[in-house]
This record gives sequence, C-alpha cells and structure tokens, in this order.
Amino acid sequence: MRRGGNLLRVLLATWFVAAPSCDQAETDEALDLARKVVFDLTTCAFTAERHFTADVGGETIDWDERVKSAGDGKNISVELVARNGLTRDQISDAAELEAFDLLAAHLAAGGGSRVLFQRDPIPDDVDRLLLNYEVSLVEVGREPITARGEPALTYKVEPIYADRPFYVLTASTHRLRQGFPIECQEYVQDANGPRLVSDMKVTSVTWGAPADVVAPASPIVLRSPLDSIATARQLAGQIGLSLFLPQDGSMPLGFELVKVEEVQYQTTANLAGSLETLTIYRFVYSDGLEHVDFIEHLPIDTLPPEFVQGHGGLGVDLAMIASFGSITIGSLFHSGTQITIESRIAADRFGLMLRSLVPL
Amino acid sequence: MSAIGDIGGCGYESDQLLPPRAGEEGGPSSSFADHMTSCPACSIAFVRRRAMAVELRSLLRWTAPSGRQSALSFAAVLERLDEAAFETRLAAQEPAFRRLMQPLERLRAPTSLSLSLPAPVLQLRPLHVRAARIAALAAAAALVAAVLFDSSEGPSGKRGLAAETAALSGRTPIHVEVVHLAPGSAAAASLRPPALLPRRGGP
Repeated sequence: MRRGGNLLRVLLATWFVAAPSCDQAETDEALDLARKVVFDLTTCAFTAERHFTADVGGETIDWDERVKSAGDGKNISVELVARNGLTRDQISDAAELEAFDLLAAHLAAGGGSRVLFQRDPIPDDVDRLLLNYEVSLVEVGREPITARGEPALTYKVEPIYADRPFYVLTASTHRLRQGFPIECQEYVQDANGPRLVSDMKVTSVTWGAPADVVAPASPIVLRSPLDSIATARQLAGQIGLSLFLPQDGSMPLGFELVKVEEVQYQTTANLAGSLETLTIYRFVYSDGLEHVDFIEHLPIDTLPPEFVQGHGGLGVDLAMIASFGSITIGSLFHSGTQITIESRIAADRFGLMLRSLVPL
Repeated sequence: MSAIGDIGGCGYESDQLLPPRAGEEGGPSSSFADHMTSCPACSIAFVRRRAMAVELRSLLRWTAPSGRQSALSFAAVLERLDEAAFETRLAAQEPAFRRLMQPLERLRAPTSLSLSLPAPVLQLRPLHVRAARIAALAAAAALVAAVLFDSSEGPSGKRGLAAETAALSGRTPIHVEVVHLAPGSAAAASLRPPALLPRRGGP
C-alpha cells in the first residue's frame, strides 16, 4: 500500500461507516486504511509559497511565507516573506519591525505544521474522528498552483458538537503526495453563524528537494512519553509540583485523554533572562482532530505578582482566559502550580474545565 | 437541452436577456416586451433561455452529498477512478473541451457566492477565580481515589488512561468560582495578562 494513499481513504471510511448496508469486512478494511491518515509536510520534498490571513492578538493580519521541506522527515523551514504585504526591507516603523521579527520567529520555530496561529489540521485518530465529525466531499478539481494544475479534492470536516471549529480543506490527490494541504479555511460557530478565523492558501509550489533547508533549533531538550497519570504525579512530586486535571465528564463531549508526557523545555522567561530548563507535564485530550492541552509546571519568574499572591491579597486565585481567533488560552496559578489550558474549543467551555480541576 | 447562440448587436446586453430566477416575482417590463417584439434575435435567444431554465428546473434532484442520506455513492465513484488514466485523458481532451465550452453563454452565478465573511475579532476576557480549599474533604476523596488508582482497572472496567481519568470523578474539585469581569471595567483594568512562555514551537 502506498503511504500517501490516505485522504480518499478518510472519505471512504466515512462512507462505509455511514452506510448501513456495507459489508463489515469492507468497513474494517477501509478503517484500517484510514488509520494511515497523517500528512506530514516533512515527508514531502517541496518549496511552497503560502498566503495566510488570520487574527493575531486582535489584529487581522495577512502574511506570505515560504516553506521548504527536504522530504526526509525532519528538515523543514518556514521563512516569513511579507507581513501585511510588506517585506522586512520595506518596513521602517520600529513596532512593525518588531512584529515582523516576532512572527518570523514563531513561523521559523513551528516548522509550518502547528504554530499558535497557524496549523494544518491533521486527524490523530480516525476512529475517534469519525465519532465526532462528519466528513463530506465538496469538490473535485484542479488547483492552479502549478503550470499544469494540481489534482485536488475539497472536503469539509464538520464537528457534531458546535463548540469547536470546522474546516474546509483542499488537498492534493496526486498519487505521490495525496493529502498535501493546498487550502484551509477554518470557521467557528458564533451567534451569527459561521465566522472565518483563518485562511491558508498555497499560491505556488515546486516539487523536489530544495538545496538549502536549515531546520530551526528547538526549545525542547527532551520529550518523554509517560504511561500513566500516576507516573506523572510521581515524577512531578519529586520536584515539588502538584498536578491537576478536570474531573472525567467535565471535558467537552468526545474528548479523551490520549497522551501524557514530560517535557524539558528551555526558556528565558525568568528575571535574569538567562536560558533555563523548565520541566513541564503535558496532558493531551483529543476528539480525533482537536486537542485540549493541559500544560503544568512550576511558576515562571515573570508571572505577574497578582497571579502568585492572589488578587487584592484576598487569597483569591486569578485566572485569565484570552481568545485569539479560534484559539483560547486559560492560565491559572494554584497551589504552586501554573496551569495553562490551550484549545480551539469555545472559550465558554473553559469555565467548566477550571471549576472541575482536581488534584492528582 | 436547448442551445444558445450569441446575441446580435442591437444594444441589448447579454445579461439583460436572462429569464427570472425561480420564485422571482414580477413580469418583464414594458420596454423589455417592446424590444422582444421588435428584435427577432433577442426574442429567439430569450425564448431559448427560458426553455433551458425550465428544463434545468425539471431535472431530477439528488440529495446533496453532505449527510448520511446522500444518494450518491462516492465510495463507488472513487473506487472506479483510475487516477493516472483520468489525468492523461483529461490532459489529452482539454483542447476539445475548451472548443466546446467557448461558444457557450455563461449564466449569472448565485448572489450568495459573492457574500463576504466578516473579519475575525479578538475576544479578551479576564476572570476571577475563587478557590476554597476544603482540605479534609479533599484528603478523604483523594484516599478513596488512591485506592481506585492502585487497582489495574477503574470502577467502570476501563483500562489505562481512561480508567485513570474516570477515577478523577471521585475527587473533590479545588472549588473554583468563576466570575466574569467586563472588559474595560476598573477591576479588569487592574489585571495584566499572564506572561506566556516564549513559544519557540512550544511543547
């Protein structure tokens, strides 16, 4: 079986699951194939120009980036070409230059697959995806990103529960790179109906390995998967850290804990501004496509004193919830632990998750 | 299906000769009716277009392929699709298709296609969280949960992470009380967002 034969398999799997008259063996086969669904940009050799429009910190910006991938599974780079239509050489304002450099750093470190305001949605579990989403075909055609046009399929991934985004995705159906993302529109549901929060479009692409791909340095020194919550609790206890997770049943529908890991993360977020290693415990809940991440660690030095001391000296913990486009981040300091929740789930679900936190 | 030819140079634009959409009220204006009487070319074109619109509306409709009731078997279609042969044939026949398509009139697209979507907006909502520590209850609950934890399966018979998260339901929450503060209020103004870790990729 060819590795890239994945995108159509998702749709096949969706159909087989939906059709009651299908033979069970066919269903199993289709699901087996569908489990191969992962399009990793690092596995395809290309140079692509991509145009983004997104909400970054309340400001609608657009940018152009150049993604280079060696196709070896590890070396990929993302270079910011222009922000709001201006290349770096064309910017004179200091604040604009700072914003350009900050975005460039985000893109360069993220590898193009997932940065805070940029992502190519990838199912991590097709079985769970099919329980929580409906996948439907929109269009079959060719996209003018190359001289000949790239054969492509446009499909919609729509959640059963309206508290998470839906996507309209256009992906290549070429047999050598099936699933390569060409366009991605991300919508959230609000009171007035669907609202577009990010839009990605590949404007041109050259297939084949580029000559100069330099993978960025990663702040992650070590990432260790853990087999249980109990192991995480034991390891965290050795550094004086208490861990918290929400009660089962208080998570948004369809989410299950799928990953626990310990991460050694290098950061300069301390008073001295020096490079230090922070031990982080990460708990990932997934519905097959979206994540709810719980990131817990000892407080960083630069945390505002209100969060450590309690608001107004009343012993009241303080939390902040901020939304950027469809991404919401909630931060809470409790019993010596800084807890950060990050997800594309609607912000109003965060209250319930915070209220149901229990010590491990 | 009716054929449509080009319109002569009588001054009437091609778009003015479109039949009304289904459900549209009102008949043709008097000036339009007068022109149809005096211009045979436009009259023929309009009659043909109206006939074609009727034919199109009478075509059998299938359920849209968006739900489980879809009558279209995409699985069957995709299974029969020989991608390589399809691409080759498409490339070879493209000039022929272009010649066939060239003389066809274009019909107006639905107006819904031109509707723009609103720009994204930021929502920033600071919250107060009240934590009441009920130590005795929490300790008792933790003890019960710890016993459950040590067993190989949770109370519902689940295994692994699912069993561990199920066991969390028996514990006492830290009793967080969420109070929403209106953005721009004095209390909200006294707060600053937490300093996030520098996200150079992020864990």
